[in-house]
Amino acid sequence: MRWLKPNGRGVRRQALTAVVALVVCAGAVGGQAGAVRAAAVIQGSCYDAYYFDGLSSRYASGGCASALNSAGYAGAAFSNATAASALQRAPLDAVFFHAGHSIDFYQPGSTAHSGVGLVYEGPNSSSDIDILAGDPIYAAQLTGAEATICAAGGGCRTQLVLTSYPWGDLPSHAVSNLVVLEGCATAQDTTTDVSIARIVYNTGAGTVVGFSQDVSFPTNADNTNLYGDGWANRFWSDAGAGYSYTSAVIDASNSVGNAYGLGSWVVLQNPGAPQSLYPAKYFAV
Amino acid sequence: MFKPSRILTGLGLVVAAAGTASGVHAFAASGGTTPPPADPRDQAVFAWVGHGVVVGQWRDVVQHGLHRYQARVAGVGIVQVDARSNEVDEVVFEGNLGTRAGQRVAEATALGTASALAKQHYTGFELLDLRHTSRVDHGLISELRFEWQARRQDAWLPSRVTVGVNEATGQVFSYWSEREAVKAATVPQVRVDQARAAAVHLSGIANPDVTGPFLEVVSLADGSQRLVWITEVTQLFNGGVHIPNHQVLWTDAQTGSTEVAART
Repeated sequence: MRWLKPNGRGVRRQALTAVVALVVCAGAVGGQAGAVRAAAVIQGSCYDAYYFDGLSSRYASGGCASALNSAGYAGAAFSNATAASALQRAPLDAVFFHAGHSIDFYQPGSTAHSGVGLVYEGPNSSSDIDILAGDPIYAAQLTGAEATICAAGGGCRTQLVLTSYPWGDLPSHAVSNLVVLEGCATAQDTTTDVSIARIVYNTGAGTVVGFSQDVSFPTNADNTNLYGDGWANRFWSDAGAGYSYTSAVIDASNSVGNAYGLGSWVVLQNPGAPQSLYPAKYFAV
Repeated sequence: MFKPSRILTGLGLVVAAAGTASGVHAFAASGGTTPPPADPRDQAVFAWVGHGVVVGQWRDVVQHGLHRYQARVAGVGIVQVDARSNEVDEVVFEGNLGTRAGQRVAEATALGTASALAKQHYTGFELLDLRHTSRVDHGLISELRFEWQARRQDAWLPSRVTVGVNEATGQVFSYWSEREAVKAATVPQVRVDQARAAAVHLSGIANPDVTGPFLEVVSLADGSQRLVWITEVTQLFNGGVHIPNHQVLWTDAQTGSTEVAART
């Protein structure tokens, strides 16, 4: 069990924030896209982790990188990377994949929640965590927050979120081909909060995949091909075989029985977006 | 990549498709007397789809430790075949994914469509119980999902059928099934209340929302089966920012041992 207390401040999305951010981003997209298109290598980044609480997605990124490389991308897999290193690669990412914990905003008196950030736990697993945030308001408010973390079966401790980086509205997302956010409620909007998937989609990414419910991964067991592990393995196997993104999502969810939240897949796709990994390319609006 | 290898027509014609380098099965056609496709997987697809199709190259996939063959079929989408029986156990109808616009079909209408398809293609469908009906918003489309599953007394068994209907059009876009013989005992030695208490205790969650336990025969990656009580325990929060804490716990229905099988 883990909870975050964002320094006593209420975390509420301001209605106009996303609109303003999009306008600002739109002015920068052209230059960013030009820079990306000039790149000789079309890059993809895949992230997973073995977390302090036993959640293991550690073999998910390998299948992603393998699929990307077979499709002509320069795919790279990272386990227990830092959010800072992911942010550094972000401007050149045509494809992005994160499998693991999300951080969510819960509405008072309700179980409704929205995934607003991706949790990164660096190589020093007993230390602190970083976040790539969707809505930039969370980037500011989550930095320095206290997190109480409990492993399954008890054993809680408090640690700090070192930094929450603005990521979801990066101008480079306007040329992202595919963004896959395999984590809890990453595509669940609530009446007050916009999910990280929606933020990335609104910024212009071609296809964004997320989930509206909480999704489960194996616990203290690597490479089991069950739950979130199994979903990732099948999705990237299908994508590498040239299946359309939507078909790959459906097949992957079927392969795990649409269970443990993985049947709650969400696909957000902008007009004209690439439908599959082939050919390797960025998506430019 | 999708590499068409052969075309099956309503008369049993098999024609090599453009770009095919291997896997072409050619044989003559004569209306009504044409021999069936030589590959039993192609036969299964032909029987299922019932008209001319282009079958891509088959590839191996593994599900619960069991092998399946999978291919893309032009004009249809993904088709999967059980490697043991050549039974088609998954079809994704890509042409039926197109839109979320339009009026919503009534749930009863969608159920009728889904059950008719499942009855046509899943031998023994009448022995399954309708376990779940749900409406799922997938962004691109909205789904009415129906899940039937085999049951013996209180225990849910691995054999099942799930059909997804596009709520805007009433068309089926996904059919998925499993068929597995039951090898595990289905009568629990551990009571439901014992399983629930053990799961909540092990979760360490002080303010839990508990779903279940449900008694299920689960198939493991090594092909074995276990009879388990499955309990889902979720941490309730009163607002604020948190990392979700939702645990799936298995209690062995014979021994009572409990473990966290998966978590968010």
